[in-house]
Amino acid sequence: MNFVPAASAAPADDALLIARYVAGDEQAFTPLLLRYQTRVFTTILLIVRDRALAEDLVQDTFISALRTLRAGRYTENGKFGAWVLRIGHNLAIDATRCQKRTPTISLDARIGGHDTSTLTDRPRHDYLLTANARREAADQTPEAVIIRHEQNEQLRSLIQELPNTQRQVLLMRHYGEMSFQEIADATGVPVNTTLSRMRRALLKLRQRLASGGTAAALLMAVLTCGNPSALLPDFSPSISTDADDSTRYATGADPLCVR
Amino acid sequence: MIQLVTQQALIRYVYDELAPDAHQELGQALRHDPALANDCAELLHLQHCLNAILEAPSAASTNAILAAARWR
Repeated sequence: MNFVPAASAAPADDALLIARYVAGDEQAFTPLLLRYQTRVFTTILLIVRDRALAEDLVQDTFISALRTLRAGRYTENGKFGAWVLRIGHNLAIDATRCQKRTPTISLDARIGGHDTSTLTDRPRHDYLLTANARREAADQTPEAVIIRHEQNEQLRSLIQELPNTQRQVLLMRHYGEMSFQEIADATGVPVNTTLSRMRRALLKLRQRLASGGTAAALLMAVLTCGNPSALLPDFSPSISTDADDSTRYATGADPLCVR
Repeated sequence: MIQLVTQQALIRYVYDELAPDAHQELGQALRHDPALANDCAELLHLQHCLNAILEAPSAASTNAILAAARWR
């Protein structure tokens, strides 16, 4: 079967917004940020599992991207979302390496909990419910909300337990919206290896998550409309770097380093 | 037992990366192969779960980035 590029990977106006921003229109960056910040933040959070740190890293990510744009060194035409997500991914990987080398930093801060005390005094937020859960909570019983919250927590834990190569492909494909071929190119492995990693990752997650009747309902919806991607959310409305940052990313061991 | 190649095609299918003819072919297969359809249903459910854990950064982070985006 033939590949086709991930059609939704880069909205057509990303390049226009970037050009406007580089030309001095500050407002042009806002839709770009709003379009990609959720996916970048989620990816970072799933890697570091520390909300306060993830908040810092998402800022670092976009500020790094801004520096690259301003310096006129942005060359990822049409791939802004994937590019900024790779920056965030690499910053998160670097951060987890630092965490492992620094035992005084709490590794117990849970995404869904309130214990977020880590590196510095940071403002605390309401972590109990995800954005999606908040929207749905209004017409759900308290029990259903609690169950969904626990399921989400379980999924986050399972993702973190995946081997790095599998987690990388999962995050890049699902949240970064990179095609499997793009991920293969970025990681330097054959596309079949990328697909195999994705398959193993999804298999592990599937084995641990109970689907109930939701799966069948989703399949019926797909067979009716014929387009699986139509069921995915429409994300509403990204950074390299000064010389130091570029060097940092380019010399990292992670194969998805931004160059 | 579904073969590996079909499982990979199924993953491409749910991520909408199959060429139109292959997409249509697999769509037809789903209607006649309960095991394949079950696997597809599970993958779609998993996508649904992965979307459910999407979270936006705090407004403070968004505002900090927007402030940094100012040229002056």
